[in-house]
Amino acid sequence: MEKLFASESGLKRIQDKRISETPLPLGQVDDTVLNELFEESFGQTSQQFTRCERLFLVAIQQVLHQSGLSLEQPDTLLILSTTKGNIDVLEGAYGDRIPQEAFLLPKMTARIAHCLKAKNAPLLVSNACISGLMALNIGARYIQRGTYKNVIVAGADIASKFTVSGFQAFKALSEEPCKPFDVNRTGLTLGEGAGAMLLSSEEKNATIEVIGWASSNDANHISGPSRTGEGLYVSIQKAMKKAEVSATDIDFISAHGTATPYNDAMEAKAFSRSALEQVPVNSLKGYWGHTLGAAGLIEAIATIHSMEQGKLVESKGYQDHGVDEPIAVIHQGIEKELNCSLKTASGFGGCNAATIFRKK
Amino acid sequence: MENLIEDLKKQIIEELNLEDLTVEEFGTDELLFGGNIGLDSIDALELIVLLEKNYGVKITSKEDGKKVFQTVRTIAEFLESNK
Amino acid sequence: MADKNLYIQHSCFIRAGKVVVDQSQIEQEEDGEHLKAFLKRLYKSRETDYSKFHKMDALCKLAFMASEYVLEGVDWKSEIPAEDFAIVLQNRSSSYDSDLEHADSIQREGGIASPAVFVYTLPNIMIGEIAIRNGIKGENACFITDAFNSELLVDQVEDAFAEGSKLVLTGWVEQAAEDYEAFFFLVGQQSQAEKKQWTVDNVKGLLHEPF
Repeated sequence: MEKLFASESGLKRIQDKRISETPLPLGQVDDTVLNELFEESFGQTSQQFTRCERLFLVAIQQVLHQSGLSLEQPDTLLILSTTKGNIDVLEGAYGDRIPQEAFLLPKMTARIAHCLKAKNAPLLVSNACISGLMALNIGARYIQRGTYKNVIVAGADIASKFTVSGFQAFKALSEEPCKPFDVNRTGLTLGEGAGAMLLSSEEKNATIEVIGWASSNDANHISGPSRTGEGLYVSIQKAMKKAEVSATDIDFISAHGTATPYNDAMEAKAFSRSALEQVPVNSLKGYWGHTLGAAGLIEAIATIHSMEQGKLVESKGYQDHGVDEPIAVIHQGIEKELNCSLKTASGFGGCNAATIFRKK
Repeated sequence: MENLIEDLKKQIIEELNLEDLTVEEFGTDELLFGGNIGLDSIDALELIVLLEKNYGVKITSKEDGKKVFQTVRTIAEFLESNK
Repeated sequence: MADKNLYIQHSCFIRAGKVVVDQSQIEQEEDGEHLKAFLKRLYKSRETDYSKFHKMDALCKLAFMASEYVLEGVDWKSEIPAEDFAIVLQNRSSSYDSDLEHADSIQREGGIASPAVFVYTLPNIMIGEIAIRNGIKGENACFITDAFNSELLVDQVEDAFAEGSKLVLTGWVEQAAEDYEAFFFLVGQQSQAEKKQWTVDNVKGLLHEPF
């Protein structure tokens, strides 16, 4: 978080033929750091797990460690989110060390559950780029319905040749680090990472409440976002209704902000239609890239830190306003009391999600 | 030119899975986008792949794409001039 | 949760070479017919004019056909707003065929990635296709589970209703090469005599009926 508040980006230009034929900016997790964290957390070699599994496990273990909880408890559920999980197994990244079947998402889930001795079979949500936020929303529901006392929500995705080449074919990648909402934005920058969050019905130690959530579909196109922002607008309205708040209550929006021309234009429309033009908004993609199935969750975690510390993070890469509506993209990080925040996400398949947090 | 146009029609139907369209019905001057053929943004990207794969021609700018991908004839003319 | 009185309005099963809608078999695979040919024949037999169908991968075609059967003759648009219609699906192999196809295209020497293949390497695209076809704008969730999990599905659908959904299209759509299985349920609040209640037992009961 210090680096975010200091506006330091983790995006680096990489040259790695295993990921891309041409050099490109990327938000990569250092393998050595990841393995050290893994071995520290689990006291065993990281070699028998894939990169994606290591990311998941390290993030989840930190939450378990901080909270003193265990997944062996019957009242605790784990919900995972990812788009492509162990897709690098398909690319032969591990030779014989990892069985080929680990590329299937239920196998990855089982391997993670086994490592953590999870009593309840974890759920896995795969809803393109809203996966992380959907997992959070579904976790919040399980707490509300009283099925579980604790839900740990975790999201992870890796940067692979599979996704990089796909987005290249879509002409969606930026040559330079991405510039969300900027007039010169030319596309997204991919990233990888993991996030984990504990949702609990126990109030003790909690600083933030999840008070509203929703998802929706544009019903417009499988890869292009709606031009009118209709789907995202519906998600925001439903989440506000559930949270029993109005537009004037929202202090901050953590947008999806992929920096593709159409996505950012669509989001600006949806925020404007929701009477949220004046509300400070940022995209964190300029710091660590688009982490796909983990993005919504990682950015929700950053939102919570922002609220706890009363600080707004600069929207990295944003210089000159580049969307039609005069939305309040954060030029410079400032201190501000944040009582109520909105997090949104949108993705392929026309899906959108929104979540609202309130400081206790 | 006529052979090239016929080939292009076959390839477009095949690669873009335009099953409801035949080469005979496929008008050389019919608009590919916005008209009856009704191609979308993914099809446009797929056309770029098609020209690269089958003709070794790369289209890099959006403006070029818009000019070239108007009709089958404009694609054929572009390929002829890039031989 | 708030409203437990939910009923299965319609169901559709496409598995083991048979299409069963509301517990009556209406179509059957021909001897030696491959999945894609079977799905194409189903599409043609309905005289549907929807050319996007041909662009879909097999998983989406399967989900699309199951949704066509289960929504046939349902005039929901006159009853509820599009944003109150939710879609909640489950599957096991995610987008298996498209994953392999895209991976193969980028590993081959001189191979070029196809955007039309890559876009299908996400399992929730099948929800998008159904949403676009029908103009459905509500909640949409896609779960990946090792096997069909009726408890999860029943919970999720109940939650969707508790949060304002008025109709939910839900089920399991699994496909990897020639292995496939789809069951769809349209769940709503209308309770005519022949309609089964939306419960785990009733879902399991329908699943185990010999067709």
